[in-house]
Amino acid sequence: MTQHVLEMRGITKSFPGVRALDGVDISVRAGEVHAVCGENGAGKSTLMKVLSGVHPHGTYGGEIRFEGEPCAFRDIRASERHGIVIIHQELALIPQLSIAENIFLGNERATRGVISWSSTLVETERLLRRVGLDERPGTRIAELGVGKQQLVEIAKALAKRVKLLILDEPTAALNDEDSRKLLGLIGELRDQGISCILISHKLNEIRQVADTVTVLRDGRSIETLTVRRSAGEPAAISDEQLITRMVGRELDQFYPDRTPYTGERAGQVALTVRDWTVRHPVDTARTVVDSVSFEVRHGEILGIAGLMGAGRTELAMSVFGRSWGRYVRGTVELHGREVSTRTVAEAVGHGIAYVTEDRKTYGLNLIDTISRNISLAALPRMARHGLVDAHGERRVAERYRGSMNIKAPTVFEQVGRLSGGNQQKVVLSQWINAEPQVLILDEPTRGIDVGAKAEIYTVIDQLAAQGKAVVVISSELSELLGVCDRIATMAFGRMTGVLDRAEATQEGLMRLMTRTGVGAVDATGRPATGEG
Amino acid sequence: MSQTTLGKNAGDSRERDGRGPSTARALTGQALRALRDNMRQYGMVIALVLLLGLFQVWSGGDMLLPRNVTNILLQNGYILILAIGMMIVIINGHIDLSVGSLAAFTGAAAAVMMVDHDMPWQLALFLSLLIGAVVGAWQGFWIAYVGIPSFIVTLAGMLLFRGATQILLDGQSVSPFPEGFQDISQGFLPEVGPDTNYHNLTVLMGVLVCAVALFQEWRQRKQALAYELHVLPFRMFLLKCAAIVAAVLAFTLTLASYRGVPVVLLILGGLLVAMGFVMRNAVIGRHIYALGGNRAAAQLSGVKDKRVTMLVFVNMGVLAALAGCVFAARLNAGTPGAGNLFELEAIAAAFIGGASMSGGVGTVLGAVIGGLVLGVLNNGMSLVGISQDVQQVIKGLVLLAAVGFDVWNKRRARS
Amino acid sequence: MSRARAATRTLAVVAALALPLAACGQDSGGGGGRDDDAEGGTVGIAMPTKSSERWIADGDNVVSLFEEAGYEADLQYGENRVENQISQIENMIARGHDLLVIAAIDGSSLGNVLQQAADAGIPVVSYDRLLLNSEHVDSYATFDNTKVGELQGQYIVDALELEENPDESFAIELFAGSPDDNNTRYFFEGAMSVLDPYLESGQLVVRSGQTEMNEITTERWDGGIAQNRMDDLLTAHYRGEPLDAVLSPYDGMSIGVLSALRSVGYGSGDRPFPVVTGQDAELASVKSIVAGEQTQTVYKDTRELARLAVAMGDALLSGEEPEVNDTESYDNGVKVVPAYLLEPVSIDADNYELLIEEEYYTEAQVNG
Repeated sequence: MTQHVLEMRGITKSFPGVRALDGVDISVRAGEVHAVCGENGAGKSTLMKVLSGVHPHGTYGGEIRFEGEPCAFRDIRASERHGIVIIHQELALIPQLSIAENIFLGNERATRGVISWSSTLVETERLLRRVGLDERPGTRIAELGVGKQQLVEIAKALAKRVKLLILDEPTAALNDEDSRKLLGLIGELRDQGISCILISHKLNEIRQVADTVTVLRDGRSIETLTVRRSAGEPAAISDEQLITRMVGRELDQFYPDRTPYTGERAGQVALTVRDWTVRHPVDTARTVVDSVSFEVRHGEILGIAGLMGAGRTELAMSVFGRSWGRYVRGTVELHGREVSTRTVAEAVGHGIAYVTEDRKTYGLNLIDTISRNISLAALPRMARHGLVDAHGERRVAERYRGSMNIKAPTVFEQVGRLSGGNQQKVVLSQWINAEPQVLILDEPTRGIDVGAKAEIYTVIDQLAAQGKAVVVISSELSELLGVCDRIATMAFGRMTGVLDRAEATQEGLMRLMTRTGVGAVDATGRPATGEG
Repeated sequence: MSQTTLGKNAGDSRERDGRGPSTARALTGQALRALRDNMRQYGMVIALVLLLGLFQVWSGGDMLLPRNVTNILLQNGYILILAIGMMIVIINGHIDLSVGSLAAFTGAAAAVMMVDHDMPWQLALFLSLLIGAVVGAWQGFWIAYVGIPSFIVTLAGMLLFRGATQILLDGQSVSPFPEGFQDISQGFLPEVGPDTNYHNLTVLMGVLVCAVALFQEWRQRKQALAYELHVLPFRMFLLKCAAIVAAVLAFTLTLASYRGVPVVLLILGGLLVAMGFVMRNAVIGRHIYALGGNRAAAQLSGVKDKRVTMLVFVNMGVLAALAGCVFAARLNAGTPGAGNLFELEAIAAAFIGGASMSGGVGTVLGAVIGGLVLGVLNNGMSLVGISQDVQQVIKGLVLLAAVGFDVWNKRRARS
Repeated sequence: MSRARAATRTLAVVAALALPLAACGQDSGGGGGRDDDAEGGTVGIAMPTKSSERWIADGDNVVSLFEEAGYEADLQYGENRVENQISQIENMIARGHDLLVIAAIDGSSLGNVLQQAADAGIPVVSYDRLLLNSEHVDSYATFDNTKVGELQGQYIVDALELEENPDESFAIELFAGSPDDNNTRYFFEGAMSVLDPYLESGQLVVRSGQTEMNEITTERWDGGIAQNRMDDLLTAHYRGEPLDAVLSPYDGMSIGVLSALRSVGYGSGDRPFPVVTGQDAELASVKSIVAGEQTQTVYKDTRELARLAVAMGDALLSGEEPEVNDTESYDNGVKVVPAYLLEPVSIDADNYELLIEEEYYTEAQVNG
């Protein structure tokens, strides 16, 4: 039996009014990948903050032993000195600085305050080779994609002579290929004797790379399961097993059955986009969306699949009031009539809604209340003579709090204090309240827990059942296969295919998503135009 | 007018009617809890009351003399007008450094029009406000449509209009003004009716304000109950009404025992009610908050950010012009040195009154209270003879403490 | 507990809070009724700024002399901001002070507050700077400001020996004080009354051509601004030719002018400093004169001015006419203010010891 590198016993942590952790036990063996999973709010992040000294010793109950020694970390530096390094979900790199400067930030190779650049560069190259990143040490972080930035974070951890690496949702922002690479790297690090705690929502990842998994629920450790006895073995547990423990109930109906729309406009085309072409706003030589055409009908859910950088979000945002990039050509039609969507207000006026993938940056006013966020997009309609009907607004907000199951004591709660899933429900409420004909949902379940996901799938299904035309952009193929009627694929700015739900498989979609050098496919079902 | 804004967001801390325990201690407990949960709104009001009390004792009773209370209003009227506009600019996520220079410029323009060109004062006042609006639109254009940061645009404006003032006045003070114009800052409501010991119109206004305020409170409570929201226990509600009536009556009777309501207070009251209403209840007000809270999200929600920002600066320009005229009327002269550092006082008032550097939070009432805290501090320290140099040190510390307290309070609330 | 009882109790609270605060009723409007802690009454003194040594000394002198005379003194500085000074004077009136001694920041901006003082029956002594556009100024204590200018002008004429050498020509540059200070005009006109004939005859030449007062004023009497202007004049007009004299109305500005001169090489080797005048005999300038840099200053014994102000105030409070020696010169736009003019004295390296003899400074201060 391998010895435990980390033992946390009976960890308890309270915030005013909440007990975030309630007697959590977790033991990590030396040289294993130990996954921690649980719904949002289950206490994963708090547990890691206790471990890394963000919550200093004395503010929590219980005992931490690292390499057999009891630990009392006062801050992050103290835990890092012992070799415990945490990589947060939001990357902590400074985009204006180079890779080398970032790796040694706060840990500079210096004598008497003067940085030794030569040793910094040599060391950086060695670290970059170790994480398999083929970039020069002087490259600025801003020039790297998210996947490569993640690797730089790991290199930074290695520079601190890490013994226990904690990764918080490391693949949340990565495409499948980068995710695979990263998971592979975690495996390699394990083989070099570096233990790893992996916090993840993605159950397939856990099955792919973890040796052991601990499930947290409501601040308690529910169970620790063995995924595999030795590296290379196939996983011995199923998604269902994990989900059951995470939510504490059987998820017999994770994806709802599609409810058909039978209203008068059934089958009628709502939105048609033709030959849509957009260039990058700064790098104007780059065509990011190239001759894309698609249509979506009332009561239909159209999925758009694609890898990172395929141009899905750019397509959606540029159609929605030209909020992104430089318009080159293309038309938008509603019910067969061409309409102008030059500004967001025009697009909203025509009944188009776009729910952003990045709700904190583009979706919500975090310092304002639930009720004011929900009403924002529909204010002109909800107001009379330029004045907001405060009571009407409250009624509307209360209605959505009920129907969307937003977990908050009142609709006057600050949105910033809600969990990710509840924030997503607020954004959705805002746009449903705008009473659109067409809803474009960009990564509607990113970063939210399993229970909330299921609720959001139900909402999407019901929107379509009411006759709305829904476009879902997602990086999770299983999600698209679960909720959509048709799935279009994009690669490198072009539409590369469109499949009915019945004929689509993950493998088939992935082939289309990685297809290069082919002519654009017209998702409206007509021959592509603008091929040059 | 104050209580309606204050009570507005207190909903989450209230208890359901009738369930409150009946002992006095429980009542105090409830009051303290309500207080703690609304520190943001009440903190500065309490600070203001404490300051008034402190200086009342220290100055041997001079602080609350009717004459001195009137003085505080006259001495701070123009700063409070600026603070109202500044608060809105800051909520919108911008800053305006040019208001002092702009106030000087518009005051000087009014002076030149009235003294050198014998223009009727009403026309001069109107044209000054128009100049303010045009200048606001000019600055708003660069900020909203060209995209230059407001800090830079208004820094340029600060230099530009200071210089323009000096050119306009040729370095000299221009005076004196017609009576009517002076009354903007020096005038009071006329005395009417029988000879009582008090200023009749002022007492009447006080009673009216009380009645309106109580009606508002009552209506709000009724509506809240109708929507089954949490409300204050009935006795707490009575106590609150009593406090409102006491405060309004004490204030108006104090004014009434001197020369009555000054014109400046009418202007301020009007602005406070109008701007407070717009910021709370109008779509444009909501859009201003949304833009300051998260500009990108607001834009993607269809908020016309350019037009809104433009309007915010036009509003600031008009208010700066109004403040400039009030100040000129107070001096009875247009002077090249007018408005020096007004922008910093207005900004300080806004931050003491609860604005946030990143925008999106704050109330118009908060700005006025912040301005009054500074004003009472100035007046009180002058009354007890603290010298200007020490006064500046103390004001600096108060600004730091107020904002520091706010930051601390927010952090505490979050953790 | 019934609601009715709660309501009754609440009303009692209202009454208790509201009434005492406002029970005093309307003010009679008369000032001075309340303030009886000093037997002679309280004097409010408003001074411009603590950023100048001169005003600090003035303030201290006036306070100590009033206290000696049995009055209480309330001294406040406005830090060169008009609105501060107005507020301070209003507060003094509100406190019921019996007399106001005002050294104005901007003499034309105090009309309204002087009206308030008059309404409250409080007499006003204008101190050093004339209060303009108001009839409520009872007397004016000042130095003969025209004479100050004349002394500065005459000193330049004597130092350059213009009378003795009618054929020689000298370069001069002119500075005036702050545009919002009424005295600026008197200083400047006094000096020009002496210098004008020589400017016309060409014995004195202003190369910059800036001879009108509004071209040469210096905001807030600021030495830094004077220094900047001197720098610019030297760069533009005196790259080859020497500058022989600078008319500076105030020591603080003279120091700035000298710094500018020093930076282009005056005062070293064979390039002596030009004649630089000044005013107020500030310690830095007296030292500079002893060191052979600044040439002259005008000494106004501010203790005399303080003594004069106190005598005037004392007379006004006792219901007597204050003593004056000029009832013609100082028209403030509304009325001619009766004034008492003190004689200023020109000081240079030859007679600076006078300052020590009169105990204005100590030997150690000047030569230390």
